[in-house]
Parts: sequence; structure tokens; C-alpha cells
Amino acid sequence: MSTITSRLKKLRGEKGLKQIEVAALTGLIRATYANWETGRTEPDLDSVKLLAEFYEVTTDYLLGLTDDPTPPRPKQLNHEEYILSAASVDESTKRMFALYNEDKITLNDLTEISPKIKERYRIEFNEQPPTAIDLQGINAAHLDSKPGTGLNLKREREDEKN
Amino acid sequence: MKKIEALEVFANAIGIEIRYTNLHKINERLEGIAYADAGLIVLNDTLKNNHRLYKCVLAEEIGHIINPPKPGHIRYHLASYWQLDFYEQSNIRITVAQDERKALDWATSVLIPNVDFCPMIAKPMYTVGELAEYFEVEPWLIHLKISYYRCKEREVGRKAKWREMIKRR
Repeated sequence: MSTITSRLKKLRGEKGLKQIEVAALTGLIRATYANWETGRTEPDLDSVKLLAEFYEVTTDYLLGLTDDPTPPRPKQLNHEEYILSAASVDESTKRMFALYNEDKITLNDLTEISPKIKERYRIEFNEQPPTAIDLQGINAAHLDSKPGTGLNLKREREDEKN
Repeated sequence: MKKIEALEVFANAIGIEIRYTNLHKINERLEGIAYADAGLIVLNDTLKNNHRLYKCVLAEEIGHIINPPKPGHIRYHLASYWQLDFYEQSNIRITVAQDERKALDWATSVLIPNVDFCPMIAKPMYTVGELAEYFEVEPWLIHLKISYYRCKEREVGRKAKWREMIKRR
């Protein structure tokens, strides 16, 4: 007798149902179901899925791959874990602001989570911690040079280092 | 105001410095500059008087820092850009456009959350102006949000038509 045969019988017994009742509730034909329980024939994949849903067990349990009938429950993440579990910094920040807009996190939470996102940012973009740059308030002298304002600042910083 | 506060707190918490200067000296349409490597955002000083524009520009500039410029972007801002040949200029323009898109997408996601936005465009009940009023942003950001929303819908095989989302005046 295969595992599925014995498990179908056991599960039906636990529910206290007759074969005809199971057939009516699942939309199967009674004779077909009876054949599965006696082991004369075997259910196809769709039927295994249907039976697993009906008996609230895993398909693995029905097929005898595991002895644990309860389906694993997804781990409940808290807000911080949910934010930091995103694939990128961009997605993390979007999640954080979405939760903030829904009033699920407060400004204090946002302040606490942000530095952790910053750490991920450093890893993701291989960013060095910013060096102390005296930009002197980005005065007009920097910005009047029109194109390449960003690079001018960078060059000045490199000059200062040298 | 709630979102401005959140953006400022976030910027402060991740070490972004915000400074103000007269950027209109450089270009009349320039409202903000982001230096991703230095963690610095420079905003035009008149933005302080326009909360909506301030919010939009600040979010876009933070978006630039969250999504740092790709290699090649910086060449767009150099004088030597004009000495490049047509194909190199085109490649750089594409890189810049991609970076801009990412930053604007970040800004629209933060300022116009899908949770509120999607029910409002399920039927053409509101005009762009009304949506801008509701989300307290500039109308051009609503236009961008709709464009990005349509692109994302198209990616999953759904066709989102403008006339089925936005009411005519």
C-alpha cells in the first residue's frame, strides 16, 4: 500500500467523513476517490493539490515526503526587517516612505532606520565614508564656472588632499 | 508638510547636507544640484518660499543621491562634452536620461504613494490639477507619475490609457 493511500484514509478518518461526502465537497467522483484510497489508481498532480487544500496539509505530506502535515507559515517580518529586506537601497527607501505615509512608522522610526539604510548604501555602491570637505557654503565662485561644477568641487577636494 | 519633514529628517539621518544659494545665476531653470559623492544637495534659495516646488525638488535631488550617477554622467556637465562626437554625446545623453528617470521615479514614489494614487485613477474622476492639489505637488510631477505608472503597467502586460485614468477639464 502506497503512502498516499494510507494518508488519504487517515485524513478522512480524522475529519469523520465518508467517501461520498469527500467526493461531494471536492467535486470528485466517488468511485475515483475510492480507487485512490484502495490503491487501484493514483491521483494526478491537480488532484493531489486539490486534496492537499481540502485536508489542509502539504502535498509533500500526502506523497509521503514528509511526516509533518502542517504547511510552513511565512515568517512575519516587522517593519524594520521588511524595509531592510528589500533588494536595493532604492526599494528600501521607497518601502520606508510608504510605511510612513500609511502612519505605520513614525518620524523617530524613520530616524532610526535611515542610518541602517546608509550602511547598505555604502555596501551597495562601495562608497567610502565622506571625507571632511570644506565647501565654504557653495559660494558663487564655484557655481559661476557653469559646466562641470560638480567636477570643480571634486578637483578642489583632490587638490586639498595632495 | 508631513512629507517635507520626513524628507528632511531622512536626509539628515543619512548624512546629506542641504545648502541654499542663488542657482538662477547659472541657469534660470536650475532649482537644485545633487553631489552624490559628497552627500550634498544645493537648492535655489527662492525655493524656501514655494513649499510645493521645494518638496518636489528636494525629493528629486535625494533620488539622485539614492541612485548615484552612472559612469559617464559627469561628462555631460563638462565643457569638453561639446568636443565629443555625435555618438559619444548620444550615449552620455542616454546615461543622463536614465539617471534622471531613476531620480524622478524615486521622487514620485515617495511623494505620490501608489496606495493613495491607484484608487484615485481607477476611474477618470480627477484632473491633473486636482490630483496635484490633493498630493500637494507640482502638476508636472503628476504627469511624470502617470507616465511611469503606465510604463510599469505595460511591463506586466496591461494597457493603462490616459483617458481612463484622468478626467478631462
